[in-house]
Amino acid sequence: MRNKVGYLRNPRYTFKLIRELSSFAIALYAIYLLIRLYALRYNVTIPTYLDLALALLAMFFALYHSITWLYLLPKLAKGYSNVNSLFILAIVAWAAISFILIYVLI
Amino acid sequence: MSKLHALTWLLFAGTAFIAALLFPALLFYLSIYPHLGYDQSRILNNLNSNLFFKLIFFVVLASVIYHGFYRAKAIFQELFPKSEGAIEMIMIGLALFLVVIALIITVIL
Repeated sequence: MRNKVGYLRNPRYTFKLIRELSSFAIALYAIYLLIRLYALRYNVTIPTYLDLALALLAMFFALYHSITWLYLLPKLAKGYSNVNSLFILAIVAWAAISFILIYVLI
Repeated sequence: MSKLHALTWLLFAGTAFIAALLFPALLFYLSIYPHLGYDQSRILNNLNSNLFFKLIFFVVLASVIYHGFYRAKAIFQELFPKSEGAIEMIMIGLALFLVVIALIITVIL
């Protein structure tokens, strides 16, 4: 891109920018989670409404990041014609891994 | 590509896998499930008592932090190409510093 505004003029670049920024957003939320975990040891809590709002926003970015990343995976399987079914398979595998992880943690 | 650059990129690729697959579930467990009635003290108990949980928390949170900062580094380098080297040092340095903090908070403390 020859200028910085190129990110906003081309929808494909805008999509790429949002994908990259979603990754940074969840990194910032991970830092917040570390602070929260540390504060929990000393019984310091953060206001519920703020905590929930941040969590839902982070979840949106996390899901956006994960789904766009999984969407790229089938493109690595060169020569395989049915890319959509690979993507669906990847989503199902991801959902299964997530359920197993939540089950183990709970 | 220098060896150091290759190593940082390799870490980026590996952390992408962990961040994309595992972070949403961990986020749900740590941040949303407590608002649905799950006792937060159980999270703390898991952190304090179980090395397996500590390692899961550390690996996933550290991966997300490193991956996010690496991606942000790439964007800043595209926006400010004259300062590529400085941006790389600052962002990777910050990411590694925060990974050490994550290790201290989740595993050591």
